[in-house]
Amino acid sequence: MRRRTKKQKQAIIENISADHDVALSSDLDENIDIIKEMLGHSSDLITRKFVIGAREPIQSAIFYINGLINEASVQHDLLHELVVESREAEQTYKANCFDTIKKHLVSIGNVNELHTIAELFHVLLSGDSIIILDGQRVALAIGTRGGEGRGVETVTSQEVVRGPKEAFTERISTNIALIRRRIKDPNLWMKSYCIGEKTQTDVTIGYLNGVVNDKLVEELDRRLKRIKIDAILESGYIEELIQDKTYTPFPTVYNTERPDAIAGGLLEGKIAIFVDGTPFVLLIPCLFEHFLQSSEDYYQRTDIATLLRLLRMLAFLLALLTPSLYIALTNFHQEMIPTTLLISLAAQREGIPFPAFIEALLMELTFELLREAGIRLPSAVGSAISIVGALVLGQAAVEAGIVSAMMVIVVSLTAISSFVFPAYNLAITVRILRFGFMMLAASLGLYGIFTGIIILVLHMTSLRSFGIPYLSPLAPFNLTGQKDIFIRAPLWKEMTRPHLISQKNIVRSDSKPPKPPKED
Amino acid sequence: MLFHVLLLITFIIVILIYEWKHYQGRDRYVFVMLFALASIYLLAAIVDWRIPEYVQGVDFLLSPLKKPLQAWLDQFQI
Amino acid sequence: MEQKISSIQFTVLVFMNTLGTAIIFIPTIATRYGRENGWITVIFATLLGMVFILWLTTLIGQEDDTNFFKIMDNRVGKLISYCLILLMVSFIFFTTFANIWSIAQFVSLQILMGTPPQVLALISTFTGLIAVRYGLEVIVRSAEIFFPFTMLSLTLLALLVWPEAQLIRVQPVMQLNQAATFVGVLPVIALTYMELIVMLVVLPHVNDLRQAKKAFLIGGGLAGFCIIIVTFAAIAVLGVDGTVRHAYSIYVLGQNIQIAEFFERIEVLVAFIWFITIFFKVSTCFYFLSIALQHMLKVKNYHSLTVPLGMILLATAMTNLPNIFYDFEMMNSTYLILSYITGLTVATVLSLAMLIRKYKEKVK
Repeated sequence: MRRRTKKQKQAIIENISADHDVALSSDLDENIDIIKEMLGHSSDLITRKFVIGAREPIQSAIFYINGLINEASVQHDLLHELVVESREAEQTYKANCFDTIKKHLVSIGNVNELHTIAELFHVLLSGDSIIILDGQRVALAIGTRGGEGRGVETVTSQEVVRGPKEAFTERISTNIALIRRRIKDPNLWMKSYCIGEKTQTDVTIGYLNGVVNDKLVEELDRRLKRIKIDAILESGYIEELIQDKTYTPFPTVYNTERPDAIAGGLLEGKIAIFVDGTPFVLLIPCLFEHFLQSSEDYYQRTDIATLLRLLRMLAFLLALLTPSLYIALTNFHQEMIPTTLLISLAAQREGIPFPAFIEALLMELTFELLREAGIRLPSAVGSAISIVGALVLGQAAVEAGIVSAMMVIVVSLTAISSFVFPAYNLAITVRILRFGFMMLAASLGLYGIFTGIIILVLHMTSLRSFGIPYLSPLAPFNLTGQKDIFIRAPLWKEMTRPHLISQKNIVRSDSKPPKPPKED
Repeated sequence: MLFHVLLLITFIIVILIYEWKHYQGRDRYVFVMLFALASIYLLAAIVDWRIPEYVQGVDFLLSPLKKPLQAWLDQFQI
Repeated sequence: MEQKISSIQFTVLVFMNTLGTAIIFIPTIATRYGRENGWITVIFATLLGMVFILWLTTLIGQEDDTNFFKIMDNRVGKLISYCLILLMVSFIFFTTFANIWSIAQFVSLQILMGTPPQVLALISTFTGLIAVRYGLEVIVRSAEIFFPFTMLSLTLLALLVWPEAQLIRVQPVMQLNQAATFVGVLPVIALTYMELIVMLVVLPHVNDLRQAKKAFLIGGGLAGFCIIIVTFAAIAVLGVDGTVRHAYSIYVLGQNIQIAEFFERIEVLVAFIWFITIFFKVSTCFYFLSIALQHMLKVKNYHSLTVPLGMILLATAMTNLPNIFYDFEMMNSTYLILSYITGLTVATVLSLAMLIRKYKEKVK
């Protein structure tokens, strides 16, 4: 056994940094040196040398990163066994040592053999503990991942009145477990990827085998493998790298922090993408209708759910068009406003220095600013901004004669409507589009709005999410799909999975409508 | 008028830059030829040059049929 | 890229294309001929139109090719096909810019008083251009989205003007002007069903051809029914004189709507129907022109032709049709002749070619 010189060691380190894999050395001290060197002698790398066995002691070392491991399991299940128990045991470890260690000493489930330094670093930095032995070119990775993390807490972004309240967390294993707990089916398959050269983020896709369209899985697999990026910090990175079209205001990948929404999606034949480090799990393919649906729709009675859905569609139109309709009507089409209303509007607008478009733009802008400020502010100051907002937007502006009272009503109606959407990213879309519509209305009145709507619909129909038309089942029209768009049909009627998303195993339920017992 | 011509020129430049790289070979050749033709035609429409009009041409070609037909149809109209 | 559309989508597109300009001009034209029997003129026109559609559906069937012009090349040979394409292009070109200009003129006269029609023509051409560049699938899918709203507006229009209707105005039924009632069928068909030859380029794209033929008939029939209802309503509400006097009679019809003494003058409903239908008509014709030119100039990607084509359409629309009276004169003379020549020639030549081929096969 020949020790490598310092120069050689340096060469190895450079090699590894340049993505060339290097096998482990058989010399314990040299391995320790390389590992330490590579991590720049970081203080959170814990290295401990110890001796296994009493009869023929083996020099060995354990590495882990402080804070990433489960402290208790390293102490009790690993170190105690290796250092103390091995002494009392009768057998020798020298020959066939890894097998013996695996079989007799380590009482932790997940144990893997590693052969190269790159592998070693990947698992080490993910929170596993590494054991290397003197004279062996193999290292053992012991699954001791743990460390501090947020527990499962309540949903913050998509709240419901009725329905489960728990939300995903930042830890991918917890998130997957939350889904497994809901779908106890062996066909729920998971497939893991490691994306991001620097972050080495765990990305797992989950789907119901036998329900999902196999081509969809292949397509997603291809798109994920195509990603070459240094970091994945949030599922938004993945979303942006796999979506069908970048330059569109409409999201084509769904994200949620509700496990029940993801479970529901999986059962419809969609694919979930879990990304480590974020509570927002992605769901593909995603159609426009999903953004106007809440998982609560399925927990409430069908008539209530239908009403709420229609209300949300109305809110979508209101949030998009109210200011532009107001501008168009007051500027170009006064004859369409009933006379009495027109007189009162004209009286309000008397003395307002701005044309309606500028007025609307001003108020919308103020509101957007307030809204953005409200999100960033610490919650203690949050109430202050709402008071300021109410006073500035409402009373003071009207009393000062800068905007008309009608404009305040229009802006508040828009604001209220835009908070109705269950999905936050659609609300942002509507915010962007609203300003475009306002400009069209200011220049061409209702004709401009109609033109805008035509172009908008053209754009939306041209979108696809993983090959599925964005506006389906409305366009292309599919009759069986209609039971879950504008209305939410009773569950015993929702017998099939969405037509375009899942072609296999489409029957969902066979239940008969409930019937009361016959009276005598 | 000048403003409209300037707008047209801006439009032509923007479209050329935007569309140029999308087409290759014969497509690009045809595009440039047609685009030049269309630009001149649109310019003529803006600055009011008298150029042969399509409708008048069709009108002229069909005039032998047009006269009797119109006379016949006219008796039935209010 | 292979573009496939469903038969439902095809029905909707046929519906939109038939209603196109027709919905606003037909009541006036039909009444001008048939007077109080104007709506009967439209009924006859619809029946004859259905026959024409049946004829059109027989033209395509055996070939697998989805490009209509290639089918035509195979059927009648390069030279005749070239002449036919030229004829069709000249007609559809006329249709397209006339539609663009009529919507621009209508909006600048009735809705946005004072806005120059050139600007509005620019915007209509621009929307058409976007639609064509997105491709046929997107056009038909959008048509599907807008179809319910169009039907809703039409139904509302028909229902809401009902209180104003006086049946005395459509009487006597078929007692006077019988000859004129039948003659009126000619210009009505020229503006509605003859223009449907543009659908020949869409027809091979439908994934189920047998269904497509049914869809063609249903779409045309439904549109014809709507025009009949609207013409009847126009005569019953405005009277013969009122309908003839206004160039946009159904817009005036819309002005008569009153709901609960609060919603007045919602004629925008009518404008909406017209915007939508004309938009789809312009897009389909635009698509037809692009594909035809692509075939004639042997270009790989038809997108390269769309922008220049749009510019030419816009320039022609702005200069060639000075005013609405000229439009009406055209519709009754040159356009009518061109329409029949194109429609009948194309259909006859293609049918003849098919018959000859069948005969040859029999002889063999």
